[in-house]
Amino acid sequence: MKGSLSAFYIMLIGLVSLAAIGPCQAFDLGERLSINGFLSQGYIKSSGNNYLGDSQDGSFQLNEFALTFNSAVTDNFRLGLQLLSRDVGAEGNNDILIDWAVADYRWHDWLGMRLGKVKLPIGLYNQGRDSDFLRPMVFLPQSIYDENKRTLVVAAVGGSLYGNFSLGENGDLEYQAYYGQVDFREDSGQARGLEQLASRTARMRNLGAVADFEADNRYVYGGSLVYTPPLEGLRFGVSYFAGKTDFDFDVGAAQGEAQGTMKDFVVLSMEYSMQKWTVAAEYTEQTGDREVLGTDIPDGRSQGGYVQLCYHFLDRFGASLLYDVFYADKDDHDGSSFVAQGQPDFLGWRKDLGVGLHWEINSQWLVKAEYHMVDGAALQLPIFNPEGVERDWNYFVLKTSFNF
Amino acid sequence: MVLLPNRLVLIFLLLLPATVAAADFAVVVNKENQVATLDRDEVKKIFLGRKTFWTDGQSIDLVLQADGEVHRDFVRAILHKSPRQFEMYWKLALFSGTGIPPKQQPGDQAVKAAVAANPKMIGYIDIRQLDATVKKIELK
Repeated sequence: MKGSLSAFYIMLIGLVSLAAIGPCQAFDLGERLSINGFLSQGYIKSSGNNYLGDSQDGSFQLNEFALTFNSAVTDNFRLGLQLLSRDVGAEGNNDILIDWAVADYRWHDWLGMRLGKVKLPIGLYNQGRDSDFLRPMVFLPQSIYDENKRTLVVAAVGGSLYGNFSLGENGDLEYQAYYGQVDFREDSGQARGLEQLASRTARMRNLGAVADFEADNRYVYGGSLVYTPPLEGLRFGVSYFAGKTDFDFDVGAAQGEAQGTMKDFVVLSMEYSMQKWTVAAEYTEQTGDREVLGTDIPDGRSQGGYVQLCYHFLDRFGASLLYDVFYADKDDHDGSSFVAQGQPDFLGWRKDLGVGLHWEINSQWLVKAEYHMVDGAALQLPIFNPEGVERDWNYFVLKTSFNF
Repeated sequence: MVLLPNRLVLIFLLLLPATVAAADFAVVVNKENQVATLDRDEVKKIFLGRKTFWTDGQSIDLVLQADGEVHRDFVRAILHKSPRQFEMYWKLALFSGTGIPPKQQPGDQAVKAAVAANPKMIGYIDIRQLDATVKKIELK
């Protein structure tokens, strides 16, 4: 903890120093190496429930810092690395991690390969999810870009193939396909959710306390297709993801095991972007399959989607409106399976209506403010509210970002 | 009652994307480049990093203007984006590890010098600044 905080401050001082010297541009060290980066800091305050951390008291545990290095070794070969430190409530703790690190070779427009740690193309926005200034609202819509699942879906050590097929007058088709393993952190929402489930299961069977919980991802694989038709500003996407993670832990004096598998995580996407308006809508379904201490947990197939409108009144000032819905089980929208287990029905859904403003002071500074009203407590909300969750809750976020 | 439809029309017109002014730029390449004409859609794909090779197999090097009227006109007329959207497009590639944004030059003279020095480079300049140091591409 102490070491990671020291590393965080060294990185923060380094970033501020880089930003303070010279013009606020990328640092081109000759023709072959460039250094970029970003810093963001937010404040979140919620009422009704805690969200991602102790947000009911108001929390500044909402930040990201990154340094990005790129080197065009030859015309077709590139090396790149991004170091990322983030703190989002209970997750991240500002440890400095390799966000992505790639050796990227491109043979043709239609074929390139990246080896190393690659960002995963899920939906239209997953690959840029850590860069706050790339999107109109602070959080991406949670029905698809759930912060608690970030560890599993953000990046993998392995490789990907990518390319672009020109369809002539009919547009373009971009593809990415990947296979790898995830560095599954124990402080991630998914690991903590499964640890909580293992503890509850062990308690019910009088097996003793769960300790030394460790996660070991076995694999992730998937791909995406993005079709850009001739109509300017319009694009459609479809992506697929699957992954499996094993968990080991002590339970009393014995060893315990659990597995978590995410199967057939499919996202259908649409974005229409004009010079002032952007409309985005995505739909998802995914199947969770968990087994804890030999007991199969009936997760079912979840369902979700959102519509987001963004309008720029001025080139660098805009407003956003979001409606985002998630159901834990697509065949049980009213949460009756939770009631059957003695739990509240509203654990079965999450409906988020959000409004936000964003102001780009210049091409490098950005400020956002937004307010969300939420009905329901799905998507792992109980892990931040062990004393119980409320159905209706809301949260306010203020965040500023700087990039160079 | 009579005013309402007019107001609605006015609001609708205000919400429409800004009309693109006549663009007075020229797309330019090195004089050694064998390419003489390009579709506007091909130029768009080149500057969005979707077409990265010339027909002879050489990779394409891009150069952008840092800002200004020529940059704004080119981005709006050819890429159908606002300069801000174009900037965000390349920042997404940069920070997600999928690409490196093109180099920028401060103005027409610097772009011409960069294109004249690199047989693989393509850029755009104010058409009034066109001279024999670079070759103008005819847009179809």
